[in-house]
Amino acid sequence: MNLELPGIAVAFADAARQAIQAAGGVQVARRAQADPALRAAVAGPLLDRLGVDDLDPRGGLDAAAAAAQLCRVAGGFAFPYPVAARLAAPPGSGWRFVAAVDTGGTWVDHADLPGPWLVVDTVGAVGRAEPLAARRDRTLAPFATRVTVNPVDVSLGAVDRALVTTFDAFTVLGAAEQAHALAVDHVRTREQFGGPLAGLQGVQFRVADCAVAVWGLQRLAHFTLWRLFTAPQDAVVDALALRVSALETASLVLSNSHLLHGAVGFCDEHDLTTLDRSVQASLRLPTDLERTSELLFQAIDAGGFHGLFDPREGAAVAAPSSSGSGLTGYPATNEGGPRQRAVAVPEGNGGAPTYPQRDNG
Amino acid sequence: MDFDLGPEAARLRRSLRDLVEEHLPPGFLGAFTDDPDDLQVTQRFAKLLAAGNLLTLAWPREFGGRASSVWEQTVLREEMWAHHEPRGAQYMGLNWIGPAIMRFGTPEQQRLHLPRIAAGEVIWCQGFSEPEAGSDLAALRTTASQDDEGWVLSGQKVWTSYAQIADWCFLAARTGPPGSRRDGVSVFLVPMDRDGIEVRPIASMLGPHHLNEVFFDSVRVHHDELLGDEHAGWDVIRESLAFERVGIARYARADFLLQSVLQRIGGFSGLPVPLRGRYARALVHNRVARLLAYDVVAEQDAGRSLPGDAAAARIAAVVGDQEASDVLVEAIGPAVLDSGPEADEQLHADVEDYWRYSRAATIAAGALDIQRGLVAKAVLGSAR
Repeated sequence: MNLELPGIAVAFADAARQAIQAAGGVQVARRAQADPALRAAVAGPLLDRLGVDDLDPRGGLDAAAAAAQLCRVAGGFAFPYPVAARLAAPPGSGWRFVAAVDTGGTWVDHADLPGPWLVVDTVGAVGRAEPLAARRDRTLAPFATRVTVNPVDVSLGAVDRALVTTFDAFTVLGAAEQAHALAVDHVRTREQFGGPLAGLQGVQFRVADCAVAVWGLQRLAHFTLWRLFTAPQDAVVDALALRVSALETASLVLSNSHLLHGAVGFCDEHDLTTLDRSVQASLRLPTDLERTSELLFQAIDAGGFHGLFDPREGAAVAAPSSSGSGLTGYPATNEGGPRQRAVAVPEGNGGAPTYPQRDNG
Repeated sequence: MDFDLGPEAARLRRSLRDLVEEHLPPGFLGAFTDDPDDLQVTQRFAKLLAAGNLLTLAWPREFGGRASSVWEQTVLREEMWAHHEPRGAQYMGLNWIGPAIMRFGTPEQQRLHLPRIAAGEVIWCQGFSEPEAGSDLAALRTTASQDDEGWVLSGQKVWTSYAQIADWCFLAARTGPPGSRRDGVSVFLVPMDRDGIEVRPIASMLGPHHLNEVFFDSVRVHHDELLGDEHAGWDVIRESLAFERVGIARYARADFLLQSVLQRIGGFSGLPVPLRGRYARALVHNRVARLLAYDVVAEQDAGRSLPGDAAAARIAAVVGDQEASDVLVEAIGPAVLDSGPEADEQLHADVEDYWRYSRAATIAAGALDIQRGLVAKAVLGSAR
């Protein structure tokens, strides 16, 4: 048992945090909402300089943890770029971004940015997403874009699909942590009724409930990442469980942070507003809480849910398996683990373990 | 980063499940039922564990323990709670009274008490709550007045679990002046057969032995029955409660029942549609509660005992416990009311028993809002 994050992940997160802060922090998001071209001009190159293209989260837990921490940092700044989708794209595959959509889904955050975009739906069907129309200004999820999805002859394995969901959950975690930190700072310093708001028991209880939720999500996020590498057969169900927790936590923390801030928290110049508006894309796309819960119980029905009393033979007391056993029951075509590069291979290439190439047709 | 509890813990879990299967009767719902045989089952089971040196896994060898890892101790807590705590009342002595005596006791107190706790031969009760000092424990009024021969106890405790069957009481009393709050509390180790102690059971929906009143009428306590320094009892209590807050692995019984009921009803299709999402989320919340408890264990193992973390783990566990019990009851429907010894379905009796227990989860070991206050204090610090 070792609950510490790998040192490389901590260092990578520190470097990312410093780089985004140097670029303006949350101000980058505000500027990008006024000038969406800044995403490609500023945000993308910042990630390039951090070396994200050299980071292969399928290469091992350390690299995956570093990638997840980058998503978490980005979420805390409402960083205006599809960081999770970029990191979920298998290096060398030709796909720039990999995102999740609901079955028949037509929205992808930031899909107006040049791709190519590979999208995977809730049953594992993949396609190439193309932006349908010019992006329109809107208050919530300012970069969510309507897309059309055309099937492509590739498939994604369970672990690849789980990585998309897991990285997105880390982004939500970062946003929830920052919204909570803003609320804590506010109630410690804002004085009403002759003292800091933090002196009021009702405020304390709200802060405590949010802290417990955030701490719990932190632990679950790390656990899920570890399970991707030790029990890849459960990758999809574990990632859905993490998404459920992330959506619940974000909802609790954002609503309480707004309440504790009062009207100032809704002002465009306040970071809380920017965080809330931006994270709505991750909270609604590809699925909201109820729909994610539905997907979760379907996945549990199909393959079980790991725990102390997992009814699957041996799972209750044995150490997690290091190899996939196809137990999730999902119709994905490849249940291999991260180290096996789980993107499935199109027919007719001799079975070589290569990534599907960009669909140029 | 590695969440595996290790091969020793996995082996221990298998051994404990084998013991449970072999030695607990079908339908066992714990020591404290209307059937007095259940109490005897737990006394035998505790001695069986002690014979295998499994009661005091994490205790140091010098105190009769096996010096096992905290993770093996965690497995023991999980397996025992999941199976209706077949150690009966023993868990209290093992999990926090014993450790408190190790930490604060004299060598004589350690020699007297620890081997008997380790052998499963002695039942303890905890004399903390009073009629006017529940969550506000620092308001306790039971007094211990010093004289040449030691101390004289007078006052009343209430809600004292196991007092009727306990051999000893881990008792908090006021040794300072009235109103001295935390600065005037001391802890005593008091034999329950001492003259002047009267126990009156309180009937409750939790079953027998859970709630009692204990009256102390000029009870003589010797000098060597004071634990730690005079007036320094709050340190002992605080540390004891920190152990208690993570001591009960409530998530383990929730996990057992959530998985068992789901299997019995044939998966989510056997649930009403509106309940399916809630049931799935209960499984997730239970996983989170387990991970938060592991975090506290890891912190304690590293010598860092953080009250905010322990309280957070406790909140997640008890809230998750009540959520799980609610969805389980709704999964079974009105048939859950047909429980008790003659229930058609043992699982229904399990769930009914679990639901009743979970009602008290947000009170035991510090009410939920006290825990929220501790978390808030950790987060907000001096501005609070």
